Amino acid sequence: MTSAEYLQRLHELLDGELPAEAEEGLFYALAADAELRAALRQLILVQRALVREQPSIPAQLEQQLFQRLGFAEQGIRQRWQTGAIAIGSALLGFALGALLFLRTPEPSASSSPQPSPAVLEMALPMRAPAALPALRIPIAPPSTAPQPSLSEPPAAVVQPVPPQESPIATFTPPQPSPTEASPATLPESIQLPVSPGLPLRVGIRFLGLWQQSSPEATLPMQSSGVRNLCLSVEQPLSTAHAIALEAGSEDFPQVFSSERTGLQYRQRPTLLWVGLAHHWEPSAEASVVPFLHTLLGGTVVGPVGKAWVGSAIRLGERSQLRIGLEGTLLLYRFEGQWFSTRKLGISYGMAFSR
Amino acid sequence: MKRPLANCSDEELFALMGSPNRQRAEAAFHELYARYSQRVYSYCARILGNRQDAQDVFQETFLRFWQSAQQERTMTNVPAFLLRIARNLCFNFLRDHHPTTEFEEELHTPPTSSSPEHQLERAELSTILHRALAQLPPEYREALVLREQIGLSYAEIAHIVGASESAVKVRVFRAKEKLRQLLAPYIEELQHYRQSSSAQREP
Repeated sequence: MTSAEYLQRLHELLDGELPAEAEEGLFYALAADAELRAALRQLILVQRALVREQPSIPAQLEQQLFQRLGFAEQGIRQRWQTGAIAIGSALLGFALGALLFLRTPEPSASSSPQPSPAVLEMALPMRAPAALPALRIPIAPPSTAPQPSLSEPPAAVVQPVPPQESPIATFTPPQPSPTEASPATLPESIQLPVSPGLPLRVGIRFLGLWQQSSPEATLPMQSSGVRNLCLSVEQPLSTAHAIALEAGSEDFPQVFSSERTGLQYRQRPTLLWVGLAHHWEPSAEASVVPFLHTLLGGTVVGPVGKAWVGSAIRLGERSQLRIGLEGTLLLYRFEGQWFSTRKLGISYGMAFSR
Repeated sequence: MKRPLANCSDEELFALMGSPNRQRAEAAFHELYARYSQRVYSYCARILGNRQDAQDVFQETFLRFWQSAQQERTMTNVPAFLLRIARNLCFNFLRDHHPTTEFEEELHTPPTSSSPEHQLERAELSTILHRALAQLPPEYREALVLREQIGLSYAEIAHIVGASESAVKVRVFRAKEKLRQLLAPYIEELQHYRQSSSAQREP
């Protein structure tokens, strides 16, 4: 067999079309012929280069085409409409949460759950006798009934209200110890937090229930792994503020160009990000409250910032559903130039207290 | 309930493009565009070898595709149909305009060894490859691009270009062989550079 024939066999081998019976002869020839081996290496590299060097579609070409087809204006209008609906929904949700929050009365002795005697003992170790008249005000106004004292029979004071609804009926003041007797250390109000520690919260969030990005890149995502998901751990600083450590995976359409080659690149990688967030959510008895969540973090390509505004819906003592409008800004550099990707979408998630 | 367009077949989407519901028709077009625009653009860019010409033909291809969907209701092979439109436009263009041969002299000059790192940068390799492809006869270039870059089978290529499978195989073989010879000096450099850089990385 001539070297030209072996060369053809090489092509067939790389093409997956070499008959099995021809393999042995070709491999013997490759072992013996350095030129043939060099040709094989060259062919492999040429084939790789051909596959890798795909010309990319310039972003403006797509816009021009859609414009010529009469799509662009409609597309933009449709995007605006969808965006307006999404923003409107998020703002409505936020407003509803805010309204419910503002209309909710402040926690009071009558509206808050009845503390158990054990809790009252902790909260009111010394001032129980002084606190009792305050508790009795709604039951027996001073104008219509004389102020009772502890020495009077409780039945005469709490008559309008069933005895089981009054904490006074079941309250037994503890005997103070001499060390607890100092007025300076006594709590002033019964509205002290029952639990001194604020519980840690963990959260999971799904990004982009609806999503728009700028620039758009109509390319398939470059990863089939987990994406558009975020996990967080929140440490409350007060009843309204918390800081959180968050990590997520998200796809970011990118369009950037090279001044050197004049080429424009379009890609849609899935990037991991990590950041520190601040969460504000007013403490209230309402089942729906507004929240504002901001984050600063980073990815392997550059910094990322996020803002998430919406409503938190309390589902139980320890869990809540959060839904809202989320904006994201990713900055990245290419050949010394900064480029950005901006995203707007609706995200939702759950948060659980420990 | 409407099915998401991403789950629709090419044929269903093509039929939807002719639907009186303009919004639905456009959405179907967008979906098919997302599926096949890269193939069509690669084809146009490689066959014409000029960015601006490729962009013009690319746009014209999709314009005609949209127009034909308004007239026809059935289509059995959408990507082949798109590539046939692109092919006709590209070859008409090449017939009316003289193909450029400006890179020929440069290509036969082996790269200088003064700055091998620069030679190996991806953009330059891309340019070299582009120039080498430009030197192939259009029929060979076409067969190679359809086979290696777009990933079609010989039977599909034969259907698009209107030749026999064996003729297509010969074209691909000759194109690759020519390309290997044209790129041989650069490939050796590339291989040498890769070997030396990997050796430097080893402790």
